[in-house]
Amino acid sequence: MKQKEINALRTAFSIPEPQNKREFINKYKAMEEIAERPKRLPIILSFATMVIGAAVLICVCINLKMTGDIRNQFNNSSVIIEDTTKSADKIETTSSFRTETTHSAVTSHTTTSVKSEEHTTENTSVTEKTQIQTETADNHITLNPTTAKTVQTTGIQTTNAEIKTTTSEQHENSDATTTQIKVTVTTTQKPITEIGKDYTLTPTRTYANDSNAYPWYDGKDQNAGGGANGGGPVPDGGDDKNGIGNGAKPPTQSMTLKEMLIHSTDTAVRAVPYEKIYTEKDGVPYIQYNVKITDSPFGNRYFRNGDRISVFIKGGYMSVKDFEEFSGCITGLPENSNIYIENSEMDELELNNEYLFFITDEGNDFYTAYNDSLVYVFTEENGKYVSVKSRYMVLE
Amino acid sequence: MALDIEDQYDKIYRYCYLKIRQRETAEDITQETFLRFLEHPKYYSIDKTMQILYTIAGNLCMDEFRKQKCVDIPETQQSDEDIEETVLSSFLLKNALKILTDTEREIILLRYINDVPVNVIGNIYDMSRFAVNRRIKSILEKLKKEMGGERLI
Repeated sequence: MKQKEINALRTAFSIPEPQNKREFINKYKAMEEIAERPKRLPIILSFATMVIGAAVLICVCINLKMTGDIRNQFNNSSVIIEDTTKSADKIETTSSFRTETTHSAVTSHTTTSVKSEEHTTENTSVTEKTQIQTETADNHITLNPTTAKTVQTTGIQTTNAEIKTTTSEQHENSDATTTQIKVTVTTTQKPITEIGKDYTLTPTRTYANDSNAYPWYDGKDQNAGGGANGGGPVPDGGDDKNGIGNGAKPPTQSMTLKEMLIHSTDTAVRAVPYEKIYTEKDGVPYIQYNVKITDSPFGNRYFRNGDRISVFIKGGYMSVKDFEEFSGCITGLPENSNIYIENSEMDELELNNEYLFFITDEGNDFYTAYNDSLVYVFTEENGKYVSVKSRYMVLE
Repeated sequence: MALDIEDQYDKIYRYCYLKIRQRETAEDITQETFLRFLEHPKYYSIDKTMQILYTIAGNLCMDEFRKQKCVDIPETQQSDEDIEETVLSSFLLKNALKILTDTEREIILLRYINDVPVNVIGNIYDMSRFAVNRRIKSILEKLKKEMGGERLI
């Protein structure tokens, strides 16, 4: 229809013009702006949404990266066997056992290939038709030459030589195999990872165990004259003979030994020393025992099983040079020699034995287990805890 | 899609006026149509938008009819004087429009004055676009016949 005809139709309909059009349109546009204004989330919700989105993105990226790493590991035919749960001793024992097992498995393979196509022994089954060799009993090693190289281990560690021997044997047996398998198993032994936190301290100076060291007695003058040169840098304990350290409250007479120890120390821990270091702190020679806690019966500070701390007991080795420097006295001993400051209250603790330590926190994880007159270390004998030095001191 | 209210206002008004035959009521319904449309979800298709507008307007006009069913609705507000004032060429057409039914007049208005697509008209009147085309063709022939010529003008 032509525009002229449309105009004629419009005229013919005789529709009057609206009167309130302009007012309504202005009102409508204002309302439309309000209606179309984007509804924004509160700032907190918006921020939370962004954070969650970012976290999800990071997780996806990490997941993809890990997947890629695993894929690359198998593509390179290199499988790293890591055992972080067993101690070193146990690993060695297991390794020797594995050697024997592997050799027996190899023998079985040889027998199999000579005698028949398909044969099953106690430790090994070889199926050449499917081109799959499987060691199921001890090795737990599965090799599939047609697809991929898969090595499964169940906590048993083997050496490179053993694995290579097994692999070559498998080549001999799988005549129908077209794809050569080259499996390299790298055994990596990580340091033992302990459960628990490490609060041990790293000493600034250490001294070696010297059998030719000159003995130096705690608080006693090596020279008969005593005086300024008498005694060493080791605190002599002053006049406190009650078995109470600095800052400790004096026990009442009705206290038992156990009560006195609880009263005058911070924490009691059952622990096993695994390292002994001769060191010094502020010029005072100490034996630093790094111990692994097995239990924490009571105390102001709670330790978990597996936590490691450093317990200091005065005494130990020190070089004459350092001793003279710290103490200010002249010993008259050769400068390059060592002295051994004996703690008259105790013998040195044995490593890997469990002891009960009553320790005091001197600050910054510096725990001491001694007093000027007592060493607060006990060992278990016949169900009772006995002082490591004074056998008459028994904890009930 | 943003609604061009400047353009659509007149079209909806004409549609309402054709149904109601009262200027003020038609304008009220027109404005109510746009207010209802404002609360309606927005569509990105102009056809869908137009269909919604005409559907709302048609329903509102129907409601208005129900309210005024006891009231005599003048067939047309135009007096004889108005008719005399129109140009001669429109006079015949105007008379010819009188023989059409309400729906036929609405379809003609929608299609040629409001420029509503055939498919939208079909959706409004629940007809297929082919049926709408056939209906428009028959209406035009009826008008031509009434006017005694082959052309409307």
